[in-house]
Amino acid sequence: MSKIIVGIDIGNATTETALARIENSQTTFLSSGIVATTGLKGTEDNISGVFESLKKALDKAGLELSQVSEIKINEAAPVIGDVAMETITQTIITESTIIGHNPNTPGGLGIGSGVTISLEDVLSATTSQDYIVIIDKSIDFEEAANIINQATNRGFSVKAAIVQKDDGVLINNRLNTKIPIVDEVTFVEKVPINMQAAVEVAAVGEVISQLSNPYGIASIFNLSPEETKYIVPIARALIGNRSAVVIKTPKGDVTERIIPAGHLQIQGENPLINFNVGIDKGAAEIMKAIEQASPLENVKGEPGTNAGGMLERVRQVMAELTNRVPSEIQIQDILAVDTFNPQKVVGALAGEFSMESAVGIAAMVKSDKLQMESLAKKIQEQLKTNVSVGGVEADMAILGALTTPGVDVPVAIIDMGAGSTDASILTGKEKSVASVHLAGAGNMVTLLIQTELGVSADLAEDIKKFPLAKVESVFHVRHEDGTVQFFEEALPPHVFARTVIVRKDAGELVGFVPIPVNISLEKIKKIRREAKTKVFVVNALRALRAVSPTGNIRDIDYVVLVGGSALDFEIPQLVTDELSRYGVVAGQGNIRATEGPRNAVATGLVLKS
Amino acid sequence: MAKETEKPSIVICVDENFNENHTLQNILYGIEEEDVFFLIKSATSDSAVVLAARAALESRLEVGIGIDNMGNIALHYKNMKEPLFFLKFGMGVHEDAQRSLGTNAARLVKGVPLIV
Repeated sequence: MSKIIVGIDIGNATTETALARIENSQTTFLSSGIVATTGLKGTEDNISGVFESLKKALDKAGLELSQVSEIKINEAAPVIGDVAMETITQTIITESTIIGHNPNTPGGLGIGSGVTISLEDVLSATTSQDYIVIIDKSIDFEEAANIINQATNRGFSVKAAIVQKDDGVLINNRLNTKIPIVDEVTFVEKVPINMQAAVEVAAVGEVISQLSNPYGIASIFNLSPEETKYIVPIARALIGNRSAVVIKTPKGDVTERIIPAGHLQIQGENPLINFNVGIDKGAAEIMKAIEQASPLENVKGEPGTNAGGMLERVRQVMAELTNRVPSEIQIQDILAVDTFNPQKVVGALAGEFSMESAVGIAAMVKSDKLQMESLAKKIQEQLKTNVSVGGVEADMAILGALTTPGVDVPVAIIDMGAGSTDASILTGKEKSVASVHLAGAGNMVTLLIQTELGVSADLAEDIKKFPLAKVESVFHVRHEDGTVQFFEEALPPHVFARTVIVRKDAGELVGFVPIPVNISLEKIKKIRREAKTKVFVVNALRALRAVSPTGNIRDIDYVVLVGGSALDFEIPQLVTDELSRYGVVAGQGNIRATEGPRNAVATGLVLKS
Repeated sequence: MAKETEKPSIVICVDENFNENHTLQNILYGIEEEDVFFLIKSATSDSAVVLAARAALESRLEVGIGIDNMGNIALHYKNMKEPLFFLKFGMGVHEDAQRSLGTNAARLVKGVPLIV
């Protein structure tokens, strides 16, 4: 008696199918299918994805739907992971006091200080003092140079210039006496007139030294020790720039303030354990409280904050899915991560950014088997085939993972997906299985990259998925590992000299996507790897600690990495590397020796039946 | 071919029958702002593309610009089959576009992202 059994795993990102024939209790896998999940995991919208995925597997095996005797779906139940970002510091420049930006080509060299004056007025100025001229975009560089030369000839002392257009070098080349010139100042009209100011331009390959030093600024403006204290943030903000302007205004000030980001109320299953942690305390404090309180009963955020809003949103979505009231929905886990968020400086003149501290939070709700059962019923109605809910996702994943060649019990798996990181363990012959679902996975990595680089979500997703390269000439690129690749056809001009994403599809190069932000390849690579470490390495350790019978990671011998994020080009290495410190053998799974780290849950569902 | 005695410069070949001065000037401003040397040569051809290719061959930096008798401009990189940029002369050609072409020629040499 032979029958066809199908296992379907509806994940946050993909819906995967395993199709097998069972004959005399012998299971033979025939084919697999994979499509993107339609709609939010655990909802009716999933059905069309389920059908597509199933159809792919059936087509590959040359079978009809009518031949399928049973379909098993995962009991993943909506594990909604959502992510939010809460910025906890803000830099405010009152009365526009600094311009610290890096135009490509500032003019001149050195430092000059004087009183700000618009270029039109410099020739009619009456007092003989040092001036800094301000040149807006209506003035041609030739004319500007002419006026400055005339002013110098008449005995006015022009010490520096602030220019709106990219004309710094052109003006400087036409001056009889060279002065430092900062150009490409977008909001030049906001520079206050008749104020003491200083302009510094460093030589090519060097950075400014006077204006990035509090005492340097104090010397120029004759500041008292008390006043010097206030300009420390200005000096700090200018470190590493090639050019800068500092303007002394009577009430000018740069402040860094802490934004009240609200609290998280963490309630453990033990009613006596609860914590109230301020988000501005940072990720370490939050995670410490989570660890001490777990297993968690619930987490609540403060209304009116991003994190509070996010937790509320997760509850709302979950409530709609399950037809319950939001207050009944409980948050099962939280992953908090320290990050940076480049924010436009309030009151800045050249559109400067300041790296503000932020905390990213991923949350997950407790799963509900009833939800999945109603989904199974609906699929059954549509497909007219026997559909039932199989076991818990993590337990199924471990059954699937056991089909990886070279794997035996006792073994633990880490299922690294898009929305959550799950782990389970199978110890010895008694086959007792412990499992855990943790918040934070691939989507969280994308959010961190998106925030720290200030790019769109789509670009951040690509940065996460693909390695980088630098286009070094119209014919060759240097990949991030240093290898060089030449091309027969010239590369398009818009990627020239840029850091690009090496976009691939099934191992084939499909093109280079330029990254529009002016950040070096090394920095982007560092941010990408750190984001992956902060989420997946941290979660791998948390997960293994939770499922280890002794609570100690060292007591686990073998770990198999499965799930979509285990396909990533560096996440498995990062996790494997970290786990080797604990004496754990860890590696990417290869389900049924053919599927790589994918299809573990779907395969497990078939094997369980 | 490029002479070793010349300064490493972007070579600009201008058709001798082209007398309008602003076009050339705007290109030169673009190059100057980027701090790269240039060398102007006179030639005859009615094709900016041909002039640019010749200029690129003569440039020790392998970057050349050609301006034909109509005022069309081409930017060429020595090892390429086709010009990287081509700017037709006529109404609506903004001086910023001419200056950008000069800037891009210099940035091609420096290995800095272009204005596209």
